[in-house]
Amino acid sequence: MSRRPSGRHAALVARVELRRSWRTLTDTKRGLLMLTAGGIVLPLYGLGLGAGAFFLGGALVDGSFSLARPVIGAALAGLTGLVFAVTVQRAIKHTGEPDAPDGLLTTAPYRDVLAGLLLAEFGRVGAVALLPTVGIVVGFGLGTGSALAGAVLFALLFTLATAGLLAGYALGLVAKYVAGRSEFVSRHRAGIGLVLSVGVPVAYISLNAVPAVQHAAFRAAAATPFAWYADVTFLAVPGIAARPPFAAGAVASLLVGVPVLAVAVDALAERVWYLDRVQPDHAFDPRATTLSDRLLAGRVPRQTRVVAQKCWRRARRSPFTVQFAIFPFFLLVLQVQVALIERTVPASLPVLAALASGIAGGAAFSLNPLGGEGDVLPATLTSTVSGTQFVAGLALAGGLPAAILAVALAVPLGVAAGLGVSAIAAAAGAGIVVAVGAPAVAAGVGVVFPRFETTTVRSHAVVVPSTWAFVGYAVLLGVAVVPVLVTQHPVLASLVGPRVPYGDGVLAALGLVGTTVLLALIGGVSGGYAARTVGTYRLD
Amino acid sequence: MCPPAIATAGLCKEFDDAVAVRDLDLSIPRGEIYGFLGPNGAGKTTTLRMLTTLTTPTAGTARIAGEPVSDRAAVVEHLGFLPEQPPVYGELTGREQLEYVAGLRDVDDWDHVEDLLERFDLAGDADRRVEAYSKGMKQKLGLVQALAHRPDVLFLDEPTSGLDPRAARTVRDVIAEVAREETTIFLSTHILPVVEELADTVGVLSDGRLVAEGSPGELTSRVEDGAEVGDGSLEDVFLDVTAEAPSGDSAVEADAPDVQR
Repeated sequence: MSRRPSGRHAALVARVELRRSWRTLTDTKRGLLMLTAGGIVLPLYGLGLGAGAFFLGGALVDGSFSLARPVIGAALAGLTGLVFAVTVQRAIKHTGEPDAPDGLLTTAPYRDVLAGLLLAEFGRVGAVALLPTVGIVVGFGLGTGSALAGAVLFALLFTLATAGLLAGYALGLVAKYVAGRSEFVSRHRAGIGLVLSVGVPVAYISLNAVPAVQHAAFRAAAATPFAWYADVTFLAVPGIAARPPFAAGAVASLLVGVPVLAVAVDALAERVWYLDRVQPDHAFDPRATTLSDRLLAGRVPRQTRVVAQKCWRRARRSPFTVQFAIFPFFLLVLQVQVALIERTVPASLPVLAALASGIAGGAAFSLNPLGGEGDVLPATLTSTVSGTQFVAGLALAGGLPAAILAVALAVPLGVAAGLGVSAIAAAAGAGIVVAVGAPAVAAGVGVVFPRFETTTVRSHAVVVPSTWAFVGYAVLLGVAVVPVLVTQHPVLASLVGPRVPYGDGVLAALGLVGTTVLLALIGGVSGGYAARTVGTYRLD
Repeated sequence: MCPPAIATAGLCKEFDDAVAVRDLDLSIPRGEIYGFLGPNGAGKTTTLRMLTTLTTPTAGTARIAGEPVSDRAAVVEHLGFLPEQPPVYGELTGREQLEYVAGLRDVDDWDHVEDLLERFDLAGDADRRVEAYSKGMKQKLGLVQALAHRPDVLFLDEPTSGLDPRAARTVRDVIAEVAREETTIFLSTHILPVVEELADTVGVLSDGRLVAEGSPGELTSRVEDGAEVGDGSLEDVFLDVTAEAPSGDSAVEADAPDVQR
């Protein structure tokens, strides 16, 4: 049945959605911080972009800017692409389906709800983009001396943003449809989501610094029909020759494209919202032996093994519960950028990657031993597992994969960086030492600064470690890895080396011993305290 | 003559590798309270989702207040639905939540909504955020919003779940009162005394099939092997008709005419 959405219902849905978003934002310190930052940054962006648009407009009128068409085309492509990318991500995570759909979809026609959700999303994008857009439009109008040019640019930006938003929402719905119908994607959706949500931004940040990639992106954007939209802008700019056929083509593409996208979104939303989702089963066979069974059975106490296996199983099914642990790898972005730009692996990358692996492994399961158990904590505390076994299980869960990852990164990166065997071994050894010691350090900090409240990660209620636990862990680990950094990081080692009567190999070994001793001391005290705390913990 | 409030014929729902509901035939007149029972996994929720347009039947037909469930926009005008998890937003206050739903339903009779808030003892908390409500309060708020527009057909999935005895009593009273006003109520629950007290007709679903249907009195005075076995409880009947026989059929021979096999 084809019924047009009710404007009143759509406005009501949008208003309530925006009210909920506002309250969610203002209810938390993080949200208030974001609002404050936005209140400072966005006006500055608006001023900066306005100044740029002013000078661009002036240059257009003067005829002194020969690259106007490709530059404006690329800029418009970039803005549309930004709205598109943000909307795809948000549609997949948050806005692709209404909250409490059973209630809403049996209260109002889905089309009213869809129109409301899209309106709300446009409002959110608009709230962020308002000041920059005003800056651009006013700056361009003043620069060209034509209010009409500013108005045309505003209409163009508005329409392109609408197209970007609809296209992004449509792709988000396609992704949700695939996730709902494909058993493989459904089973591994959390892992795929994690890889995409972390990998894409990291790849973007890394590649964005590479001039060759920037030029290729600029050329590609300038070669697309987005350059036609520049001609629409030029129509109202005095003294510049627009190409009317291209401008007409651009307008026609929007007049056709936006309605087509709207129809596609409508059809996709109906399919996704009423989808019979596949239900991947996780059949349990008590006789089946896993790789971890074969590796660990008989080598570690059963209680320790099952605690570790439980951690791995939860992480595999819900990787967002340990997503926070990858934070050390963001420290490598600069190194990766250097590697991409200079096409050589920096000599510091192998040891830094190994250390990041160990630090991440330490944080993954041990940084909130009590709170991380969630609703299961009473059962854990009343089971026969001792505090030591429990903490050891968490340490095993993080340390074992971290040690493997450290070696897997340090060795090939070391070879690629042209390091000698001893330097590669030292880097890998540092990763293993940290992977073994860091979980114990984390466990102690985690019981001192536990966190039991849930927070929302990728639309799931998750208990993540407290900020103070992160800070304490970072400080203690930072101290413990100083000997390794001083003796293995090329810049630091070059400062220390001439002052001591040892060769590079001996120096690296001494650093490794130093970090081992520090981790043994700090980890021993910290892990022991964690084991005692868990063993005697009461739910007071 | 008015069409039945709920009518299904040969209604089926298959998922990729399982049949959830098979050949379901229902005809529920207006103003009746229909108790819908079944063990976990019997297909009750799938049936509810088909009847409330949330999922599409694989085969068969279903009409709500005369409208085919394929016409979602037409059907939702007639129904109220309280799923097992009350569909309410934690960021809104109770009154804002109800204003929202009333707006979407084009409900103008706000006095009726306020009256329901009073009846469910929620008026004093209506301006607090829903996230601060207990489970029972959310359940009651969900019921108020399902009733706000005086629906023709009300679908309730475990409506007394999480309620204290007083609130559960209120819910049962309201259900009975609403039914007297010609609203049809499709009541899915595991709490058999609620069904026994309220339902005009009881249907029992097992393994996707309707294995028994009749009034509570008819069901509890079954006839076995041609002999009256006397009054049993609805629980006895439920356990009998949903017991798994070696052949996969119901283990109970029930010869009463209103009991379907």
